[in-house]
Amino acid sequence: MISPSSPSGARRRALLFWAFFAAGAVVLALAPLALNNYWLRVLTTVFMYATVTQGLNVIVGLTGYHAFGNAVFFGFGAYACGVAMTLGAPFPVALVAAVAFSALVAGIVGWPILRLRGHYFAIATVALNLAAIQLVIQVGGVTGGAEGLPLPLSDLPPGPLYRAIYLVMLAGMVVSTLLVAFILIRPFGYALRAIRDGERAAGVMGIDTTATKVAAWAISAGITGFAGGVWAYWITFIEPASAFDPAIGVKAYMMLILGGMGTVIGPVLGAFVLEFLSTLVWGGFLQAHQIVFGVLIVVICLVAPNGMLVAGRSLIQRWRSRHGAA
Amino acid sequence: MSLLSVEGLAVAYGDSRVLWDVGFDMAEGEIVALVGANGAGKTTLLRALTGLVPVRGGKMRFAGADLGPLKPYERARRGIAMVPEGRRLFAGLTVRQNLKLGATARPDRAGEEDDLAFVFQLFPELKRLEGRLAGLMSGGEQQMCAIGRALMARPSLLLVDEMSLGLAPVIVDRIAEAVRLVNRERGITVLLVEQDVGLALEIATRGYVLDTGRITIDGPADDLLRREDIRAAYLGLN
Repeated sequence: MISPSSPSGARRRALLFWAFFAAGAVVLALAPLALNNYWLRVLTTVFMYATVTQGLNVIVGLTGYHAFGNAVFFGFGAYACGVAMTLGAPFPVALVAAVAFSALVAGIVGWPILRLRGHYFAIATVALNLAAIQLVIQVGGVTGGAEGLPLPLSDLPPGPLYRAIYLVMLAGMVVSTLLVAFILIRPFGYALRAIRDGERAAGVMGIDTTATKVAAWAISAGITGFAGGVWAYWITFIEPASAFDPAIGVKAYMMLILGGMGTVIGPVLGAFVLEFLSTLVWGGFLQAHQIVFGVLIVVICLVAPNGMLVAGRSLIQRWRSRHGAA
Repeated sequence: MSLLSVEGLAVAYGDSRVLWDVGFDMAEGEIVALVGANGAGKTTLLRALTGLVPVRGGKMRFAGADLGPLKPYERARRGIAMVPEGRRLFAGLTVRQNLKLGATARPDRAGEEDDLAFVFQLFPELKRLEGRLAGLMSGGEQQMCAIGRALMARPSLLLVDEMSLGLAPVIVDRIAEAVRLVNRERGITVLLVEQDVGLALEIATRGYVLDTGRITIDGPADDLLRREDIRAAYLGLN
């Protein structure tokens, strides 16, 4: 039986959770002192995907709108950062531009397409992703078009630069996670989950559902655009096919499902597990890593269809009831 | 002056017409029952009032304003709250969060805590279950939460769709009592939409009978309860 937990117990658990979270963030922030370049790169990638997945979590996990093509904002963020820096903006300013531009695009495109429901919305976001590739190629000019866009190189030597990028990506992951936790306890977060559970009912409750959805998507896009902007500066050369790669969105989706939709820490867990798994599989099965990785994904979906957090919780409950603990 | 007046209302889903020329009035402070068999168009009428279905013709005025061009959330913010059929709680939110969500449409933040206390006084079990996910409660508890959620908007008009559906008689009595109390103590006007004709006419002061999309009979609730045709058609009595 699921008993309602006492408020004090819930508070203690929340406190414990945030203590772990803060400790984890501090350890990760200090880790570059000990890590070699290979692991620095792997972890930076993990943080990047955790941020993208957290962005996806806002629109998919909290609001229930399946934005399959959400990685489009990764590309917009990358290009906004790249173009801003090409025009002479320093990196922090370009990063703000990446977030603002992605959120703006979601805000504008959201008004018409967030009226679509279910798979129609999902397909529309995929179309948006593909259209964005063509758009960048056609616009050309400052975007570099089909030839791609090299970003201005940093004055920092590679060592400190990669450590700085590691820390900025880490900040992206931490801040986006805190943002999701904050949204969840605000009336805005209740409204999002109400839309997820029953949109018409939410409207009758007095929630302006369209405006709320658009706001959620803009936040999602801003988070995703941040990751794209940092990524662009990190790899210093972007082209439409890699910045708007639909595979980024697919991977983030797998991480979200694996970690647990609509949870605070699920996207982070999903990113760590999937990215480490993929790195290990890559190292262990150089020829067949795609097949092995694919099979692993299928197994995970069979064993933990609602994500690791839910699977873990029910395991603990089963263990407790078997051992008669209160 | 009437709080709600409906005139010549027509609604259709695609080619199939559901409501024809429906008209009725509600004065402030009344409890009105809208009764009828399955498929008579009762729920459709409520959807038209809350803005969930497009209207083909007719006029709906609420508190002096034309409801026609208003979106569902705008109608909610003007004081129309609904307790939907089948409760429709937000299953992934706790009882407390559902109640807080109901307060989205209220005009003032100030009275929110008072109203929460009122709801908990009306249904003490909600206080006990406030941290529980709404989807994990019994039907009766969910109905109480749904009514509480609607009250949190401090509405002037409460629409209650099939409050008795699927509930134990003892729970139905409590819910009915709560509706009466809310009407008496808070002055909230109530439109009861029910298949349980006997129950609805017992609580209400006036009633309308909706039959295949048209209002066929109306009058004081006591009179309707005594009418032979209603007793035969809806109460199974002769």
